[in-house]
Amino acid sequence: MKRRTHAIIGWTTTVSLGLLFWFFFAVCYRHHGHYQEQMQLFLFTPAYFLELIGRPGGLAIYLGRFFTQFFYDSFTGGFLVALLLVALQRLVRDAANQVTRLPSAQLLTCIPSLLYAAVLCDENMLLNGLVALVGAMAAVAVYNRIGRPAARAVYYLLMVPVSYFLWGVGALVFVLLPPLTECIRRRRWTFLLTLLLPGILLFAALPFLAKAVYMQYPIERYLLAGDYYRFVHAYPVAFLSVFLFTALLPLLYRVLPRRRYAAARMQYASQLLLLALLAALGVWRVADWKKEELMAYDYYARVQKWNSILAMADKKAPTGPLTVAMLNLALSRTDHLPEYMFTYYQNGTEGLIPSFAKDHLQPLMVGEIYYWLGLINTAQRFAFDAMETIPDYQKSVRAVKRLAETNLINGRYAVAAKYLSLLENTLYYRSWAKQTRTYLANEARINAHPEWGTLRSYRPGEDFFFSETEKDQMFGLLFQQNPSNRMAYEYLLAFTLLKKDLPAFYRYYPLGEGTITYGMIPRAYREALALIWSQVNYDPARKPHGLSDRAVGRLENYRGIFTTQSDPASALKRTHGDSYWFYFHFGTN
Amino acid sequence: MRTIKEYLRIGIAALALCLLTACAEQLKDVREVMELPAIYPDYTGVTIPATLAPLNFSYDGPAERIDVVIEGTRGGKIHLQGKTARIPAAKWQSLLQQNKGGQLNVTVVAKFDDGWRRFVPFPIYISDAPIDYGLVYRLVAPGYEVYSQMGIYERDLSSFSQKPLIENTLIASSCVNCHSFRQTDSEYVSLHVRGKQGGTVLKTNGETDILDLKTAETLGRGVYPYWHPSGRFVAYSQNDTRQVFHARDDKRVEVFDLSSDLTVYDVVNNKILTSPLLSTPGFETYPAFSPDGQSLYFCLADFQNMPAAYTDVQYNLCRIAFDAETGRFGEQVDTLVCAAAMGKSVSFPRPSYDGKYILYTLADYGNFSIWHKEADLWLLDLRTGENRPLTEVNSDDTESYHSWSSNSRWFVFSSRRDDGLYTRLYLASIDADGKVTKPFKLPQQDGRRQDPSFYSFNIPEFTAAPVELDLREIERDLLSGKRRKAE
Repeated sequence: MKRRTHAIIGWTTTVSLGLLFWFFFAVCYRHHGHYQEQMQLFLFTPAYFLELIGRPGGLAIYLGRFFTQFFYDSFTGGFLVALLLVALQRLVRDAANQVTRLPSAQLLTCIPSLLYAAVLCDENMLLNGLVALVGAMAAVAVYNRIGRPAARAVYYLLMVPVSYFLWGVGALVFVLLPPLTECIRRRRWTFLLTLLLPGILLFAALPFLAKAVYMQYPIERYLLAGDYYRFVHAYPVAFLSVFLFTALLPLLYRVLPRRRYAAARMQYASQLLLLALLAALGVWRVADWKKEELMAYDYYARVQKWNSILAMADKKAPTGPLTVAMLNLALSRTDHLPEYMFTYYQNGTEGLIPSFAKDHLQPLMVGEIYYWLGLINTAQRFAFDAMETIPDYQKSVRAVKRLAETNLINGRYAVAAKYLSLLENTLYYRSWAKQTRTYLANEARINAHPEWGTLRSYRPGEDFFFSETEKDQMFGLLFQQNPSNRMAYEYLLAFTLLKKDLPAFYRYYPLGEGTITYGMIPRAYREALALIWSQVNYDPARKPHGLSDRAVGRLENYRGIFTTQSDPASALKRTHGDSYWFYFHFGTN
Repeated sequence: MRTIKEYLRIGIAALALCLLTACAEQLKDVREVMELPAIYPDYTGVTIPATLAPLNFSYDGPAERIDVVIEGTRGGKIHLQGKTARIPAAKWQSLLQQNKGGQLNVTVVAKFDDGWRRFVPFPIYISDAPIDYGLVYRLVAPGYEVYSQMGIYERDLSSFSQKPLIENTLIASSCVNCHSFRQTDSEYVSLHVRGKQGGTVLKTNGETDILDLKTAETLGRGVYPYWHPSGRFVAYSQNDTRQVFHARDDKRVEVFDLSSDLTVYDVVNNKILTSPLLSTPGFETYPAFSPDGQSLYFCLADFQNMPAAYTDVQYNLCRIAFDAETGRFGEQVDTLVCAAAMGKSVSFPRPSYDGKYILYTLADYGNFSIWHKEADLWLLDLRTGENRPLTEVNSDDTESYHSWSSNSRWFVFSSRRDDGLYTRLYLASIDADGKVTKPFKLPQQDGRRQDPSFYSFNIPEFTAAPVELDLREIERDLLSGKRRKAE
């Protein structure tokens, strides 16, 4: 096969690989990117750069976060990840070419990129590791271009500590690859002693040296320098094995057989098949689509794309408490909660408003509900605590934005200004922050703002303590203090329905009379009222106002099946699975 | 992780300074304005020690740049120009020494859209009274139930150098708090590491121990430590603390105790000393030994059902005698300030080391004054009995924790006056006649109002010399699980 053909195949492979990665991270798996983006606060300030660059692996951390911020727009974020993965492939190819030129096996150089893409499917795997790997492989490429052996040796020994300091533990690739390449290429095993051994010893000593200088972290933090994983005290072996594989893959080229033209075609075909298998395996086994779904719900709630949430739920009804809670929030924001909530799966009161958990995502999601309810202090607390829970001690751009909003609504302008000034140093939130700054201390403008002004009016005038165990009472107090707070009313009633507390529902239902109006009684309320009436044997004197005969007829139909079928749950699921009655008898609260 | 960062910052600052100096603009058509410049932090008319770090500041408004001339009445002059006033450290220190006991006059000329304006010069007074080496404080985000990275840090007051003494990153899932020194003596240290592998770190005369102060008789591990002047005892409070969260926007957090008692730890005999008078059904907290060691001051409130009656908990400032020879307490508790009668509540009583005063915080109720906007500093003169609010230093927002310098001529306190949430440190002097000067914010390298830090300054304590902790030993001992169990 001609050299030019190999080159064309090589570039076609690279471009195809890049497009594949781009499509995957920008479209299929984009919400993982959105999740990553919100778990950091990348600032374009010298202080931020200096703080990171002063740590072992600091440049990898800085650049990793730099690239991650672009996932604000998944198209750009996905492109940059694809670019890094493609750069890795080209650098592995270059390293392999230094061992021996074997163009017919060049597709194998895609494997490290594929493996690392699989690693990145874990939402806690940060881009720092990929940046480090590319950085270390770039250092290898430079090594391979130094002509004089003595200069190469000096460069190698200098770059071992420098690479560790810049890229962290990913520098292992640089420690291994050049000396082993020398050994194999020149068949001189003395390199193992003269280069590899000092390199490994130096590399092994570096974490301990770092610990001696920077005392405030346990040694494990330096052994895994670079913070590639969000849980900085954890030991994920997956990415370390990818690093090792990347270092050793180019060396395999020495033992791969050379093929003639016809055989080379077969070799390409088999490599393509292998890559396709690896990619399919990665998507099937490693990608976490349940988390992708959760992150999609979170993303749409965060950017207020309520109809996207409803569309998702229509395709596949959510079942987890958080996803169901986001669906209920979307229903509420589109004024559909009491009408349609039981047409979807309901997860009890935890699926309406989950209890606080010490987690870096859950409080952000639940905080959205409190925010829209007008419990601004609680939304603020959830945002703050979520941010403080981020395992690698980062701050959250989403939380900071929410803190700026809550402080603005609460009239804490100096604190709001502090958060806005931070956001003004970001790429994607700068314009929002600058615009929001114009609202500071401008009471009239805030009050007239469709979101902040309304939420400001929803805030409780009389104080009470937040209580996880008395949420219905909090909703009641919110509504009592501002009867225009429709969401508080509907959440109060939804809470009682989900708790299957019909007496409480019946007690609270009339609170909305005169202030909350509906064209007709919403379905959930209708069905609950019919059920309540049926419990007093349809006493005409106690018939709920506005309850239609049709609703009662449907309930009677339901009761007929309930009492006559041997397996009423299955039968009713088909005919009345979207009713409150079905939830009341068979749902989990 | 801070040393290299600091060097880099200094380098960049030096470079920026050179560039700025090179780019200094000529002042043209300057208009005179008969008012003081609006600078941040407000250093106008403050009294500072002669070894303090430069008082960098900025114009608190839409000025493009400022031209600053600082002239000593006893000689010396610094002229600088830039977006903010970043004063060269060496020149500043020399100017302070030259004008010790005198004053500096600072002239600010600010450039606005319509040109330069010269403001009325303001004085900065240089006190004769020396100040200690540094301050130790905790930096922690003003959060709720969860904390991220935080630590206890030491700041050299003559520079901007800040070094971590211990951060919670050292031991996974830990929290560090409650640092205390024996009358600013950094050889005697008590601090807590909370968490699964936590313990009380106690350093006495070069020896470091990790203590477990929980005994069958005590409510819990000791908090709010205070050293006896002899260094033999440390008073602790045992508090069963809870917090709840307000729904209304004017308050955020309510912290209260379900129960609390006081104990004294005998360092030499490894024993917990107590008295029935210090473990009553009421709430005892915030112990502090008198400088002669013969009394223990503390806060005491009647028992209330919590959290229902949280606003009814009002602490008085009390005292009980203590005999350091026998380790015994007196038979009665004296009330020095009956705050409850005023409808108020005392926290953080801190006697000056010269025995003249007790500085404390007064709020409407409770003991966690940092969340009380109305909390102010009060001064009790132990010689005359005069008890007064320190209007010279109080603000409209929270003033809370405070401590004295070793010569009792300076005090530092935490305040939320800057933005209502992030606590910052302010210092003020008090002279022999009890005259208190205008407080000044702890100098910061970047004098701009918008401080990007997510941290609050917490529990500032003076130290006469740098604190030396063998962190490697502390880490090893904490991880080993070995504790010196108090009896």
